Amino acid sequence: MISSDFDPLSEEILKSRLSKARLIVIALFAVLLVQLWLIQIAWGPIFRRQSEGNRIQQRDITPFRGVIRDRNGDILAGNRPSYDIYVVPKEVGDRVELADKLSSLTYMDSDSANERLKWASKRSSYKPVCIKKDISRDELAVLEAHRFNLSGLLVEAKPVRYYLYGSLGSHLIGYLGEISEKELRSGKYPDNKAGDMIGKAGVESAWQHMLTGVPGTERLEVDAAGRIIRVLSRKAPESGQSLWLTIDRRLQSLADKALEEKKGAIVAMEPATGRILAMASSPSFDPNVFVEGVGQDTWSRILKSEGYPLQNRVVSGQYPPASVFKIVLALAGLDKGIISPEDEIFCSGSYHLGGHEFRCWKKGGHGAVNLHRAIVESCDVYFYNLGRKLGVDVIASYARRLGLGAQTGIGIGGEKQGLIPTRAWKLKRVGEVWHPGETMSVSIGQGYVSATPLQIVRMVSAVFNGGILYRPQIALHIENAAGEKTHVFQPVKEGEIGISKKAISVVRDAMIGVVNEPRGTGSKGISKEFVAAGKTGTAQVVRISRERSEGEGDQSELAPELRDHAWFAGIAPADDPKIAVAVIIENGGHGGRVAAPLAGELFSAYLGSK
Amino acid sequence: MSEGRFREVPHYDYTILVPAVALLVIGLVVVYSASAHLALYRIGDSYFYLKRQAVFALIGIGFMVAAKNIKVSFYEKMVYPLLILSLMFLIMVLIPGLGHKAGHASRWISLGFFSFQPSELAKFALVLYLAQSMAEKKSEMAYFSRGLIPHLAVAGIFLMLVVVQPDLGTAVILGTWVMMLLFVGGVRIRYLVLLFIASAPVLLWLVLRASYRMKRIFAFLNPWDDPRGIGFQIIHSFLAFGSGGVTGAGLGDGKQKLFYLPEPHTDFILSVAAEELGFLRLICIMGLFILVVYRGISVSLKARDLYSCYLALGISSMMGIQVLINMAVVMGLLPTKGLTLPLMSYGGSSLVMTLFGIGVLLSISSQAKKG
Repeated sequence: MISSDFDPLSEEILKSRLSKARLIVIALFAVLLVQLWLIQIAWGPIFRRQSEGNRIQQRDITPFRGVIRDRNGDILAGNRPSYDIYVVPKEVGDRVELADKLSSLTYMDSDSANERLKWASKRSSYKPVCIKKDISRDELAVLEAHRFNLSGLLVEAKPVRYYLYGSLGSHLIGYLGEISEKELRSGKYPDNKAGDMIGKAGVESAWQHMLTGVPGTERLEVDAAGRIIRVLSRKAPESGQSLWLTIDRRLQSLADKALEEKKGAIVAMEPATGRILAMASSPSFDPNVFVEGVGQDTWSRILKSEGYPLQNRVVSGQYPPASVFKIVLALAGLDKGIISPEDEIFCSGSYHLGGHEFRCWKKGGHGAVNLHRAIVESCDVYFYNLGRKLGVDVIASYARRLGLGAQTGIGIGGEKQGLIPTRAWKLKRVGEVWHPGETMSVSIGQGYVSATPLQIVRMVSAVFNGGILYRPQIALHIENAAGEKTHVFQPVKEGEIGISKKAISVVRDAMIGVVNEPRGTGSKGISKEFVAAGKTGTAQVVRISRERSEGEGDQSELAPELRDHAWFAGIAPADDPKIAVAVIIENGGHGGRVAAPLAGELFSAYLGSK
Repeated sequence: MSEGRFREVPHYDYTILVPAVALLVIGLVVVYSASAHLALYRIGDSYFYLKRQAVFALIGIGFMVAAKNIKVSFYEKMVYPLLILSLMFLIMVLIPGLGHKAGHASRWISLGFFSFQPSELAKFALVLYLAQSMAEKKSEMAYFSRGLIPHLAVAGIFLMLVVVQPDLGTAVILGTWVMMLLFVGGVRIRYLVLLFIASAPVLLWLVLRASYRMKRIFAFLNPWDDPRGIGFQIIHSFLAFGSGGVTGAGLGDGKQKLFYLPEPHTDFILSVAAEELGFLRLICIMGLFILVVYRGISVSLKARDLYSCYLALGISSMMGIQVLINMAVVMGLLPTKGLTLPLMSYGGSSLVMTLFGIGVLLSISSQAKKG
């Protein structure tokens, strides 16, 4: 325990030493005071002159953003120079005069030039402020010729993103946008500062950290007008790494063209690896519009424009899979042993359950059909029967095995998971019990069921590649600035569908029949030079339209937004699959007539080029 | 009885409180002026650093008021737990994944919303330990084995952990400060001289081993040799002082903070103040610091017991050393090192712990001997 009394002897020492310590502190502060007087008063004027003559500026150097290439090395997204006009407000003599000069030398009018100059002088006095981005080559030439008459004005070049093929694959590649305050504060962008452009969607966003590079800095000596006299020191920026994608530019361009003037999506995949060959969504956009940042007006115009052009329908479009979903039921029925390929069911054109009539798309009915014919001719009544026997929960469990109802993990933003309903789901979400009639809708891929085109193409791939669900892959490898591969992406197996080989083989034969038999719903528009396989689908948009009309009937008298969505999901060649394709055309009409020929074009182009 | 009641009355030592709060307020203003451009450039919000610093100031004031109302005897029980806790933090900082790197040194532990600097807590733990132990030993302090060895051993572990962060500057300051406390505590001067001579080669080796330390020292000796490189900071600090002159360029109108001075809102905040406020106001700022430190030492002279005396001395001298070294650095009298100016520089851990220390000083002063 500490005594509150001082030891008289040590108190003596203590007091004397404490007083000494106090003196030392005072003495040291006195030294500082002398130094303060020296540097601030005695030598102050010298320093002040140096400070005023100090024309050293420190600037960041924007690095080159990593190049994005297709699988063959074709550049899809590169960089181009952008010439920007900067002004050093303190060095501007007469603002009105400069504004007039600017209006005569560039495409700026004198009012807006004056406004920008005024705005700049509020932001900074000594640091250059950008007043106009991305001037044309003509403007640049004229300004350079007059640079000595333009005090306080300078032109600087910096690299900006350039998408060589405009809207080609724009949903997959994505676009850039100015980094937001929230993003800056998140600490996830250590190499970026306010005003930087970062990836906001697609590959540009998913691989932002690798593509962005590290900015450099340079210290420049500039003259009174802010023009560079010499570079004093320079830390070079590090370019971002290049990314090779799995897509094929030619195939992508074909897919984009196929969707022109339509709403919908096309996705092509390598069945044996899960690599995406093409991914198109329509309506689309030109990402070059965004590279220098866009104003609020442009943004709201884009967001409000018809058809949501920024949405990537391949990953976030959720559509009723319609008859394409019959693949799931067929596999479930065979695998469970509920049906055998020989079993026949009589289709009279409709099916009755609980006082309701569920129609087949073919009014007169198909007569006696086995599974093979039911798939080839897409008989609804056969699948009403099968669905009834399976029940919704068994259907759902097989749908999930085939990768539906869950994200594929492609890794580009906005992926949706679709919906595979079960009894439990309905009770929880809708608060009602499941009605048997709803199983009928589910049996033909309508009602609550929905899936993304990406899920569908992966499902078809799995049926033909021996039952493996691959994670859809868009990046092939990463390359550093020296052109060395620093990372190669390997295909990732997400799981196996776990369905008997026999069941799969029956369904495969039937899917070949869809394309190759005379009565197959997808027999038109696909070349017979190779053996393709697939399944068509025609998704009803309006529930009240009781007529199902796959393969026949005419919808041209219907208003466009009430027409059916056209589906086709297929693969080629069937015996050695090289390419799987899913096509959906919103309000396009019949799957066989509208969607299948588009897939056929992709098959021919891809297999022809090999 | 009446005297007892008299002691209960909350009594603030205004000679410490007023200058400390004044410095805090001046600091907030200068932090805003110094960081606005930088914050707009880096974060896109010119108030970013000001807002955070204001929050830290409020937290710090809370700590100060709390410390004022805690009797110093309370800390006696806390000495060893705090010592162990701060040792643990200092070790955690070195573990990759736990420690948070800024630049090349790991000095922070990230606590989500803010990063916390364990060396700030370590300083306080060390002062508590030294005060208690030295007060216990009293006249035995003169003996080598009792007065020097245990204190040196504990302080040595802390210093080593700080050196490996690496933060040699803080280690040197801590070492100097420990020697000063031991000197006042009664350790014989010849032991201290010996200690100084013994540590010099170690220091020299640490400096020679790291090339950036050599560079800093050379830059300090002759900044104009390499005005674009490492001398850049010191020269621009001189230019800031010189441009300020007698009356200053005016608040907000400083030029050197615009990307010439590195970290204008932390280590070089005094340069920004010098340029914008001028010589006369800077003398006032220095006067306020002198007032706090001088009064702190005086409080220790009047403390009711030896333990309080050493505690007050430890806190005020730590602050004094930091103020002196930071000022000496920005005025070009010492090599640059990452050390903030107490109460004024931007930085949460430092501000909160400094205000807490001032609270402890206020508490000791309110329980001081009369007369």
